[in-house]
Amino acid sequence: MDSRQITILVCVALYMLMCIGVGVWAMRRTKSSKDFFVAGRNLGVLVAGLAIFSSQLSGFGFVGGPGLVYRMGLSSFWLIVCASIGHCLTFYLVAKRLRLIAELRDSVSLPDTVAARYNSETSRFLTAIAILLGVMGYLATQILAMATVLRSIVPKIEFVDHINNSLFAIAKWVSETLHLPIVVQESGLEIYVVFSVAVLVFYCVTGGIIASVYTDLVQGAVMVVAAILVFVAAASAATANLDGSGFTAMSTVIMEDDREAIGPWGTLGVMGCMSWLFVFAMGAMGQPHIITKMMMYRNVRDARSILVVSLTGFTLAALLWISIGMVMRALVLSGSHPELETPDSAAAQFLQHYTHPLLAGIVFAGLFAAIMSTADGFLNIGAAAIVHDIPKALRGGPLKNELFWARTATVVIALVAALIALYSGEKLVALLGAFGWGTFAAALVPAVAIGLNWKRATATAVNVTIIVSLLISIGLKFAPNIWPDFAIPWGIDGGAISLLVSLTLFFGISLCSKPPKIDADIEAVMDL
Amino acid sequence: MYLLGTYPTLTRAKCRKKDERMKLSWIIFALLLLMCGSLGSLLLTPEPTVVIIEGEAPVAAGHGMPHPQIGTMLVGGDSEQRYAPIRPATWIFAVCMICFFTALLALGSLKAGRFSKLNWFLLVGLCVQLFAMVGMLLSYESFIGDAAPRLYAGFPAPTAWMLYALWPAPLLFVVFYVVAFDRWTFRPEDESAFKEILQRRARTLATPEERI
Repeated sequence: MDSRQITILVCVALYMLMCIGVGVWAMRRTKSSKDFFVAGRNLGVLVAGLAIFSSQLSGFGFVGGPGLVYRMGLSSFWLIVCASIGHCLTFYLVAKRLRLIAELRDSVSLPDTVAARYNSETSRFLTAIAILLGVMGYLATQILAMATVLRSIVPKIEFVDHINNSLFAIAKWVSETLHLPIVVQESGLEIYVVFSVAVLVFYCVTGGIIASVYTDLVQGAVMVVAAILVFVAAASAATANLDGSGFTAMSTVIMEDDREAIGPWGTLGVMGCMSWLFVFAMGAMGQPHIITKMMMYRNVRDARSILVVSLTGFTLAALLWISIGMVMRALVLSGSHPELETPDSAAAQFLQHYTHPLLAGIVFAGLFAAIMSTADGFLNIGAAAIVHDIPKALRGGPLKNELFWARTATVVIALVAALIALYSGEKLVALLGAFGWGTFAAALVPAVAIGLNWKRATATAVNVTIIVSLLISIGLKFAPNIWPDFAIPWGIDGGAISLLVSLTLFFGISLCSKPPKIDADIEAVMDL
Repeated sequence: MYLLGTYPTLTRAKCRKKDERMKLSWIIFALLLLMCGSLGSLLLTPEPTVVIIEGEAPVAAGHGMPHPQIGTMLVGGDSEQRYAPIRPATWIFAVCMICFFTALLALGSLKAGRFSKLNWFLLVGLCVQLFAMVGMLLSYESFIGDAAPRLYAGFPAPTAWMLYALWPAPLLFVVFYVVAFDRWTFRPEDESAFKEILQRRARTLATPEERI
């Protein structure tokens, strides 16, 4: 093990210890289910702002994003460009009214607010189900990403392999004894999954959303610092290895090879990029792990400062995505660096060859921060769906001793997601993967973002759009299995189609229906 | 004050007076239909194809093709070939999308269904965004035919439009949100009204029927 590996491991270990420390601290502050799910609606500006942006920029921003720029040129810049208008939409349409209704009705989850707005338990149930399906898919992929990254930085030790084999044998025995519907195959990831989930579950169970948002605060700060340092390192690497300096040198090399790659649409083309702008700008308003945090801040007036903090944090953190992807594409094209094995290794290769070990350590800690800050949000809203929303929709009231059951549900969800990540097979992961950003956007944006601002929106429109959007997402995901030649032309994103259909149906059905009866207090808040 | 008597009666009366939300919702619906139309026409437009390797089947050339030398990369290919067939639909979709975003911001900033004088800022924001989007599209059309494109602040002109104009354009809405928050988004009288709504709700919940 060389000094570089030791430095990286020390940085990651310190970060994990910090998470555990925050979990212990937050446990003392978590006394009720309201504390567990919405942090007692008492978050300050900095905590809420950084928690919102760090939940938005998951591990994808640190691994997948640079990989996309390396592979597709500037196409994926649109996922960053959309953030400015996306933040505006989220704050104009959602932040104030969601916060006010949460306080008025003592809501602890998004389905609570949807049920209050539409006076419909069916809408609550469908929202909770959409959230739960999405949570499982997102969480499984985040856990898998954490385990994969951990394996790549931990050196090969016989002792670790031995534990891994034992864990695999236990999983196989449990699966056979209980006749679980999973196929346990050796993945070599068991110990890394167990370790990652253990840290995540520890701070989420002990401290609930309080631990989650305070770790997000540190996670957000680590991401911003890492991104700024990487941006500088990438410009220096380009200057040192290419003709010219910084981004001009990178652009020149990329343009000489393929001018479309450095154009505004990259290799994806204009309509692929426009559809990304549409779905990612609008989609933020439908991501439950992000907008639920808008129910948690202390004072409605804080919304304006939170918008500034969150947007600034996101923009700075995105520098890593832009700079690593561009510099690696330019370095490989110019022959200064060998071709990458996979596009997703762009970040790891850059950190290994062109940065100081300490910076690599900070970025790896930032990567874990990005993954965990998204995963902890999902664990919390998933637990809320199981112990609060679904029982309320089906039995008319929440469970007794909700805090205990919320903690239990957090553990169960994490375990199920870990099993899905390890053993569910490609089909289930693909199905759950379909419930990603675009599906949340199509299912929840009309109900939440439009419905909180437009009194004509009806419960029927909400229920129809949630069901239709889920069906379209699944249909587009599985269409190639039925028709092998099926592909959406011009690179148009399936989520954009689903969102557009869902919004049009929502407005169409609501405009054709009788104006709904809204509870007087909710109607009064909608007028504020 | 919104709340003098029972809040439902008063707010409904105010909404009947002048409710811009209905007008705005029809505008939004029309924009959505236009966007559906342009996207639908794109789905029916066949992508151009090119043969990359002699003797093998042609591949779609509208949204990235394999790089001839580097397997992990894609290339865009011929700009003209992949832009010309979808130019009109792209323009319609792009302009409608910007208008749609701004219409939603307007919907979110209405108060009791009414605009304020402050909302002229939304119109300015719309114009700036449209300017940036149109500038980028026009610049891209020049870029296609330009034999030796110049770089502006490290990027070719259409990319510079995207990064330095379209990306920051919504900051105007951020400035409006921050500056006008106390004067429009959540005024002191809104805060008092909300406190009253909370008190009324607490009183309602205190009645025996509601508790049951």
